[in-house]
Amino acid sequence: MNNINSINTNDKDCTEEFVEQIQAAITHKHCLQIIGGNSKGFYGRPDSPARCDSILNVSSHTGILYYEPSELVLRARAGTPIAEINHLLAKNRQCLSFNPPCYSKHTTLGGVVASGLTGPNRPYWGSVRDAVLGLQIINGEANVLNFGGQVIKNVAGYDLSRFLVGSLGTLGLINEVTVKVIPQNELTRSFVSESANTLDSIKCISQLKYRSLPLSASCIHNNFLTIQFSGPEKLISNIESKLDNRWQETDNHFWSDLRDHKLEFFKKTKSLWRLNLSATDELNFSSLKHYQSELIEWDGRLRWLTGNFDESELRQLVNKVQGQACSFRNQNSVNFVFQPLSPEIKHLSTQIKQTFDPHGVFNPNKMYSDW
Amino acid sequence: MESSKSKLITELRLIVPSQCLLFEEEQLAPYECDGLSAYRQLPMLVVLPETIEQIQAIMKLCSQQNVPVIARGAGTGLSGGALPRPDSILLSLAKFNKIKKIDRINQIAVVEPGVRNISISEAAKEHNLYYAPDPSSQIACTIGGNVAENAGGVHCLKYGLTVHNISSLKIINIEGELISIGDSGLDSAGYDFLALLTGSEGLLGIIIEITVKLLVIPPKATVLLAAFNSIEKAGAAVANIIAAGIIPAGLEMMDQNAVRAAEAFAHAGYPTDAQAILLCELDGLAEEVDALTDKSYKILMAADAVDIKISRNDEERLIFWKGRKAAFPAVGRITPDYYCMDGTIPRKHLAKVLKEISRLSDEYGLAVANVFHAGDGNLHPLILYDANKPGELERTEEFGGKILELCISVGGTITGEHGVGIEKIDHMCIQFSKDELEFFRKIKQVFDPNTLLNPGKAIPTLSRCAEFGAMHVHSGDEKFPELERF
Repeated sequence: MNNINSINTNDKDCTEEFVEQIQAAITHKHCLQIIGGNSKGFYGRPDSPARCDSILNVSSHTGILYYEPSELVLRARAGTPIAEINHLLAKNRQCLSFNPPCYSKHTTLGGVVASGLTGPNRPYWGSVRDAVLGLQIINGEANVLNFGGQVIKNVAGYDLSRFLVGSLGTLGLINEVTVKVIPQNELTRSFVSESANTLDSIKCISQLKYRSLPLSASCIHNNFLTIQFSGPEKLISNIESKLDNRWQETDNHFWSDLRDHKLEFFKKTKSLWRLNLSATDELNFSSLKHYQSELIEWDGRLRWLTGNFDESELRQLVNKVQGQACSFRNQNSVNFVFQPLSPEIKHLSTQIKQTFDPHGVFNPNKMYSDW
Repeated sequence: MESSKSKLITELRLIVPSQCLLFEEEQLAPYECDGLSAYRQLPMLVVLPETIEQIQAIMKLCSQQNVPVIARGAGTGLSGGALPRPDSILLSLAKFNKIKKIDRINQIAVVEPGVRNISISEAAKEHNLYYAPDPSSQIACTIGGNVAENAGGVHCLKYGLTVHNISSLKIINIEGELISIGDSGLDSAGYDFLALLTGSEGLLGIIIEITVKLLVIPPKATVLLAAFNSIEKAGAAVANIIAAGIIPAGLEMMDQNAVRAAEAFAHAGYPTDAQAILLCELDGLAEEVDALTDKSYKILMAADAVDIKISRNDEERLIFWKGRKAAFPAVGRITPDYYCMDGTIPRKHLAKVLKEISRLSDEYGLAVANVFHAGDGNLHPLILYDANKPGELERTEEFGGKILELCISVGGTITGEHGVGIEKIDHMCIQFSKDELEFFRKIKQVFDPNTLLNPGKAIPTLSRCAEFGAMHVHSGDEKFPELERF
């Protein structure tokens, strides 16, 4: 262990217990529901937990195993809370590039990797998957396997560590995670401006990017565009000199509230949809019956919609532009939680599931009803 | 074999025009190797399809007749990934060379696989955009090959590898089915097949379209050239720059052997008495670059640099880079042969690994010139040898193998950016366990149950694990000698 200045005495290696639990599940033909901090228990197909015979709880499998600030690399057991990792990194003026949503303080590194959900800085600093350098997993035959490594450049073997990000525990138990970390920016400041419509906001963001201004996040909601700048103190402290006078400075807390769904928009919602589109797909969401409102992140490429509208109408709209819609919260009445896959990808996915988890032990039907 | 070849030619003539089919020995010769020219083998025949439908039909035919298919871009790869087999079709994607779309707002380009890496940035330049990954062969290598190899380059530390800079793919599988991977947004539904396909070395499918991400060209870039009187001090300076929160656009190191060879060749103004030099490039807005240049200068001084030069304009910046970019051909001038390695190590082990390489160099009686992407720990030691001296080639190979083992022993990898191909296939057995290799083979089975796509590359069978190969350059007759290798 290197340069780790906070060793938690409660840290525990549960690998052997997990292997035994998986072996027992294979023997008894049982299914396991994998749980970390359970901060995203709502995410994925709601009928999955009921199909499981028991829970495999990763949250006690904790500990930061390796952290070397000058290497920009951290390795930790999957149950390690993101809060603990953030705390250690901050002490060294570093952070996780993917700035993951923490819907509760119990959010774990393994859960973040399994869900693949990235925070507001995604277009600038990359996704969870972009930061993953290596994974240790336990597959559905109870074998401990290591993929990737702890160096940034590594092209040996298929990139299964990045492939597993966002697989929602359907392929294997993520046991240890190695990620690339980044230096914290010296200064972050946020500004807000009124904007007539979404397209104007997207064009405005694009113009700021073409001026190479150090943008690091954006949010469009209720005819307001909020932007974040991050970078060296010398540059950011004077950034308003590069902006016109319609911009008002606003609190940086906006971004953590956005990331963790603490904004009013997310609180009042009955049904929340998450759409991945290109920034220029002008879709007429207001044509959807019971459409309520929209919040846009990632420079126009991530859209949150609320309302109890018809799933098939929404999917038709999204399909036209090769986007995808996910029923993020309160998805009981939907046919698909995630965008249906093409027949070819569905076929490959079914075989991949069979390869990783031939006995069907892990999180059955968590993503799709077929596996 | 001959009758099956004739039969295949007859059937392929129904699929592609005659000029797209090469089968005479002299036509096949240019395809006998890629950048790893020590390995040569003529394919049974070469097909240069012009349409997606033709590729689909070729794949169906090969699948039905059990004929191996090896995809090839520009053939600049250094690990023998495009090395033919005598029973194979070599599928050249050279005719798929169109940039189909550049989208200014979404900052993407949709390109065909045969488009050269540099052409994307050239086409995007009018929009003030560029494609960040810059493998050294970027003037010749194609984007399809870059995806197949997950190519890197000097700017990986800040801007990532190919996998970080593409957003969707279209592939054709061995059965001839067209499969779209990735959506128009940033995240896709289902499993991340984009990550799995990138770097899969042509073993899983034929890449026929790529959507790449484009970045705004930084308004300013400055290079610091620092000289050190010991490798350890240069290594410590690298760690200190990163630890100070600076992510340079490029951070490169050369040892004295490499500096002397490069300076004699390129006249870049390198101090030839230095034990090591560092090149540190910073890019962004002028204020940002100036602030980071100041900060880096102080760190380099504190790390005991004996001399630091700062580029005053783009012309100087390019001169500083010229020596580094010419390091491989420069070394090729001072030795009959050299053997290029491509391991990656955690940066903190740099001094230790270099010391050990130096010890091995004495033990084997073979000189080494070291060039590295120091920022991301990617080493390219060049072992200097003479293949005409009996036994020297074998000693070189053994020495190279020790270096790869050394990389693994300090927590690194056998290949940072050149790929496994045929070259490092045996060292896969050192890096991965039997279970892991077996698992890789199962993944291959999902895509290609009869092992027809680039068989014998990247993932070793267990029986293959005893063999060994390498990149050997004889008398400077490197394939594509005009390309910068760095």
